[in-house]
Amino acid sequence: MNGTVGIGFRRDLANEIINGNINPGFIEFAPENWMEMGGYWGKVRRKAAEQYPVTCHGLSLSLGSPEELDWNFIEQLKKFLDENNVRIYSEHLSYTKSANAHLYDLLPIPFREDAIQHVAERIRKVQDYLERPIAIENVSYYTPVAAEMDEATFVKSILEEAGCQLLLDVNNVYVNAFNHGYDAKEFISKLPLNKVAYIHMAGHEQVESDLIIDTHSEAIIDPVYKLFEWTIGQMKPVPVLLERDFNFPEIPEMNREMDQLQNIIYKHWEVNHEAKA
Amino acid sequence: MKLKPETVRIQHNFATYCRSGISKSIPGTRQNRIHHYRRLVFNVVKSTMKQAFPITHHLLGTKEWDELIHNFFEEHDCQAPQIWKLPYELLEYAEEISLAEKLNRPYLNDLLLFEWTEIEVHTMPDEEKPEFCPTGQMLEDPLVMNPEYRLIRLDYPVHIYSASEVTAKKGNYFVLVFRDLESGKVNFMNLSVLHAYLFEKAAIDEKNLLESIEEAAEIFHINNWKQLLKNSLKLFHEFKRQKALLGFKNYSCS
Repeated sequence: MNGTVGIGFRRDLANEIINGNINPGFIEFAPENWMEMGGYWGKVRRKAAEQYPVTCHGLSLSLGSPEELDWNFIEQLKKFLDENNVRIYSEHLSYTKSANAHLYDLLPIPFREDAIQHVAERIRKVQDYLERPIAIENVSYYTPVAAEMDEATFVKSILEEAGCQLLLDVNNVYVNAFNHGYDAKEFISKLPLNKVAYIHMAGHEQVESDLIIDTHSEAIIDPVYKLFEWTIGQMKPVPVLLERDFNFPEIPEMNREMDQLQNIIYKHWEVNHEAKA
Repeated sequence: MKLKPETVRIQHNFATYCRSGISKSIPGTRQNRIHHYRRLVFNVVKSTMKQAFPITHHLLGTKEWDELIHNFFEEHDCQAPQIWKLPYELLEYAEEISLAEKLNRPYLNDLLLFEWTEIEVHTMPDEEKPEFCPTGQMLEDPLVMNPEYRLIRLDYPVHIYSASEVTAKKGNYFVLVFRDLESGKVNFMNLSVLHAYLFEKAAIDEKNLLESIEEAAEIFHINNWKQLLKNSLKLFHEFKRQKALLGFKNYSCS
């Protein structure tokens, strides 16, 4: 999969991907949206997994949560990862559960030393149970919360403490750099790029003069392509994923975005132009 | 746990604000930004519920619906890691707070159950497909029913009549909700108490239809045997046509 462009497997795109109208190098499931699901969507998921290499990007593990880990959920997750021959499993560096309640969105973890130790320990426990590494994603955030250090230090420290991999979301770096006034390239330079397992690319929406929300509902903008091009010039080939969750464009437009990513990859990484997997 | 109590409190306060809108002291945040989190979090839940309960949403209208979802999300601790399972928790919450009585819509719990059951049957894990013969003796051979079903009982016939009509029709209604094993499409059949009894007998017990009809005649005090037999056969042929009945345990066809 290294050097290929994949796509987030969403229901709106499922038939186009299975029919080959969109032909990614790999697909990514959000396991929570597919696990324990039979019937029509179960068949669709199995068919897609037979056709394409699969990665998984979790939503509800809530690595940054003060709550206990949900071992029933993790057990189901392990079954799903094994059944679908998942090559890479990633989760967000955020929390989605607090005070015994799920919130179904990514809340920002305070950038603090105790949070580093707490999150790293949880990542290690889950990695041990799943018997596979987790790649953690740098998330978009719209306000810092009680921060005692900068984001790059926080992310880097967790990677070191947990011995996990990084899912580098280049769009999130752009969004955070814009929202919090830092230099995106400088941020990326501080990260251990040898630990990047794969890259996410997506579009976003600017809702205020000084605020971008990471919506995955728009096309990737040129400055994010440029940041991507610069980033991959710094590192070895990994898989690259296009995320689109809402406001889906026509299929040729989706393919054009994937082609644009692939062409940038060809410029910087020596990858087999024919290889899809 | 390696988190300091202060960090735990900060995280809880942030999450509580997202659920309730009640702002507690959260140090080091940008006040003009945190409302976006509440908006984003709530929109995810609201859109999931609207998609799951389109009829209830339409009936209640925006104001009552939004109030329901706001209260649900604030008062109820959502337990499902998978958001597509969350609508079931709204159904439970509505029963807990006696929503139907509060809103003077006595049929509301039934409507929520009916809408949820369609989702549940559409998405529930696959059952192992049983072996069966496509042809057999309807009365004598044990029947192989479609294992992917739910049989629900309702006080109000929300599956047949509109909201303005159902309140006057309180009774004892059964709906068989089942999934076509090939297409995954969800189908519905309105059943009487007697027919629901016969379906469950066929689905759960090993008895053949004739034995079940004989039992039903006794339990339901039905004297017109000929009519009962005729109606039951008609029902099970309809089950077969709609694939709620898959076939027969008739080993001669293997």
